[in-house]
Amino acid sequence: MTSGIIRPIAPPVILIVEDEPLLRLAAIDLVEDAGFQAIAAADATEAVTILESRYDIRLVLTDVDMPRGVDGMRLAAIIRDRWPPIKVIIVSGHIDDPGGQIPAETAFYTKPYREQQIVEKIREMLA
Amino acid sequence: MSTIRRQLFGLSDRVRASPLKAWSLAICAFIVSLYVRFLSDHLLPPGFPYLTFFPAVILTTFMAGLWPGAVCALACGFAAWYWFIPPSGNFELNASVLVALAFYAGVVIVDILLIQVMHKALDSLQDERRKSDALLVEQKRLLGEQRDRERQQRILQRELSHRMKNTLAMVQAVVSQSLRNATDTKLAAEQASARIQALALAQDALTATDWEAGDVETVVRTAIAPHNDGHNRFDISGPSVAIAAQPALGLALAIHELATNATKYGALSVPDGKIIVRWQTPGDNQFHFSWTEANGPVIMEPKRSGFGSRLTERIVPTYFKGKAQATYPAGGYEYHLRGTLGSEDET
Repeated sequence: MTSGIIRPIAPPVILIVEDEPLLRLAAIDLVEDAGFQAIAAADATEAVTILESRYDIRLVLTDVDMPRGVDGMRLAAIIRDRWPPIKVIIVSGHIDDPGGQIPAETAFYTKPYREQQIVEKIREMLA
Repeated sequence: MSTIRRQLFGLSDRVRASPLKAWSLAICAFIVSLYVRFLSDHLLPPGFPYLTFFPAVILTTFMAGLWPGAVCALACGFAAWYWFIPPSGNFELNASVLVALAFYAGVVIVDILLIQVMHKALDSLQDERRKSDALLVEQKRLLGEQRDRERQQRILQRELSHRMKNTLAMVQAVVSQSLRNATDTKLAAEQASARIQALALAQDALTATDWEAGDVETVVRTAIAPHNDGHNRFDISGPSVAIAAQPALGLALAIHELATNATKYGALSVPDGKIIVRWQTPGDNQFHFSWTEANGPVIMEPKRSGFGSRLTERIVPTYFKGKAQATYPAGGYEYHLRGTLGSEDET
């Protein structure tokens, strides 16, 4: 016999890693407007701390050039190594074609990106 | 063979370059040739007075140069005349002696001249080679410089492309944020356009300082300029302090929002309104910025928070890793930002 209580399904959590505050806010709005829950980090080190403390993050949307040493490419590699189920989307204004630099099952877009394209990719990766 | 030749010519260069070695060689060559001539005197048939002297003169001229060679030739000539041209033991001059001496003089002069011409040609060749080597070194240096310039150019192009894309991404964010939840799209488009213009002015201020960092006062005055009606409405003051590119853009956007609101609703909307802009760096990289309006109309705290207030109260403080507070006292709107300027590598 099933319970009569209907629990609302929590939206997937997406971690946004971006050092530029304005772009970070825009990315948060983009993700939230698309129906996901967004949390943000200003650099890769902060992102790793968040990933270590939370188990509900499904996807990371990260910039490449960030302060404090670790860039988005390295962060993607760390995620692939330590948290394989988490999907990663990398965005960069610095690299046009990452070639073989990006880890497997990681999407890449150049900045400025088409917002709809990012939303569709998030949905496709989380489907 | 070529190694022996090179060594021989190298030795000749070294001896000719040192007068002591050159003249010592000339004396030795003369003594040795004279000694050998005496030793071999009983073995030689008559008529070979110069036999050992020719090699001495040729060797001396080749190894030691023109003058040691000539002096050696002269000494050898006199020695041969005195000891080996009959009648020996004196300098008697007769027709046959004169012929013998003339023969000797002719041979050694030809030898010395030929060797001297050869030396001159070799010296000239070496000079040309040195010039060619110097030209080659210069050419390599110029090529290296050109490669460095090209590399620098490529780096600059990449950097420019990177900054352009980041700027476009910021413009995209400004536009999307301005249009987000907008009820009046025309007004939202105008607001977005004004914000982009504020960004462009801040970029100009940064471009003047190579885009690495700007001066707070320049950033503040550049952002205020479009809102200044020329009636001394702004009282701007603060120390000269460097600000990195990202926070400079953030500060410029904040000032644009504050000035736009002041024009619409605050101190700049009435004739006597004034705005006091101050910033301080109290220490430990701290940065305090304040915007205080005076003589303006009474304004109420807005009920709805738009992108403008999100920008000033939430986004801009994060550029400074700090906090901002907006208050609405009776005297006029006040905005206080407290944070740090951060280091270059953090931006």
